Amino acid sequence: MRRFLLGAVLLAGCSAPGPRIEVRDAYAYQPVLGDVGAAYFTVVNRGSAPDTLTVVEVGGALVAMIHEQVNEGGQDVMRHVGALAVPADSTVSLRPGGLHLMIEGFQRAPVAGDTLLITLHFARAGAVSVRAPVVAYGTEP
Amino acid sequence: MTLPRFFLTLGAGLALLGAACKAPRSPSAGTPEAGGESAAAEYPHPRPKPAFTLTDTEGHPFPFRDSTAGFVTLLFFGYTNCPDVCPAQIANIAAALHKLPDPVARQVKVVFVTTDPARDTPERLRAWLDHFDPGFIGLTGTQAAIDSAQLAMHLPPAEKEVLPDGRYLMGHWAQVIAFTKDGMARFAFPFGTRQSEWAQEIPRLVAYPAAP
Repeated sequence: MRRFLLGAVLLAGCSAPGPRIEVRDAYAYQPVLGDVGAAYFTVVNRGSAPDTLTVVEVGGALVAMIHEQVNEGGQDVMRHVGALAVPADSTVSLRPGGLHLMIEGFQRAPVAGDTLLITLHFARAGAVSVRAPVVAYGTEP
Repeated sequence: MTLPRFFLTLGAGLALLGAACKAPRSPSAGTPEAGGESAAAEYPHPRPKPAFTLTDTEGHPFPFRDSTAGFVTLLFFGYTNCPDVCPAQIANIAAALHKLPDPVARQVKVVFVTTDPARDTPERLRAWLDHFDPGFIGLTGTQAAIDSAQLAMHLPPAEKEVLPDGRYLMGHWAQVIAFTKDGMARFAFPFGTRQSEWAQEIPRLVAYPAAP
């Protein structure tokens, strides 16, 4: 009986339509001169539908935009990513040298040891918040 | 084992650059035979140090070739509003140099050329570099002079992407170009080179062509 119930629950979970979004592994770099910083995180969508990250807010900062470093003819070029697609059953990671969240307009420049509250707005899943510890550039995991 | 054998060819290194950034890399302690895991790409044809002159953060002319003659020279083109690649590369080089014995570190000059002279004033450049190491050299100049310096290294000048609100992002080469003491550009270190790799490779650059 218990096994039957568990199976029923799992089945319901699998068949529930829509994205299932989790955001994890967030961290941010302490801005060198206090004005421009970067943060990174991983978005996991375990759902059966795609979602789109449309807006990112960082507590205490005016501007947060996702940029992608792409290699064009050998040169690394920054591109503004207006909306970040998160396909069904996928993981999208921001990491140094690839996608990053550029943060500007800090009310108070964060320093190593602080925590930034990052809120990600998804088109379907809504708002998901994550806390990002601030570390210094050169801090290797 | 001589230094060059540790390095991939430039072309192969560039091809791997994207992949190298995406996965954690093990330190380059492995043997080159075991997959060639290495920090840098070797120039198939070493290039002589170019003779461009830019302006340092004190406002003095800085003839690049003459002012760095006899030193291992690590050259990077970037800009201080870059939140991702530039500070990470420079921070890792600084951390590695600070861990190395002083007699080794003193034989290395780190030169950061801004690709964004409109925003990177000499004062801002100096403050940004001081955050990592007060000895790092910051260079600026007219956009034309900076473009020429990049072309002298066979790099296309950095591109701007203007955002809808008028602000802009700069493109740039993510690699650090390493000149050995004989004044030849021999290696390009891709983004993703770890501190442990810098700490291993810098003494080799200093000792080049001999194995340390």
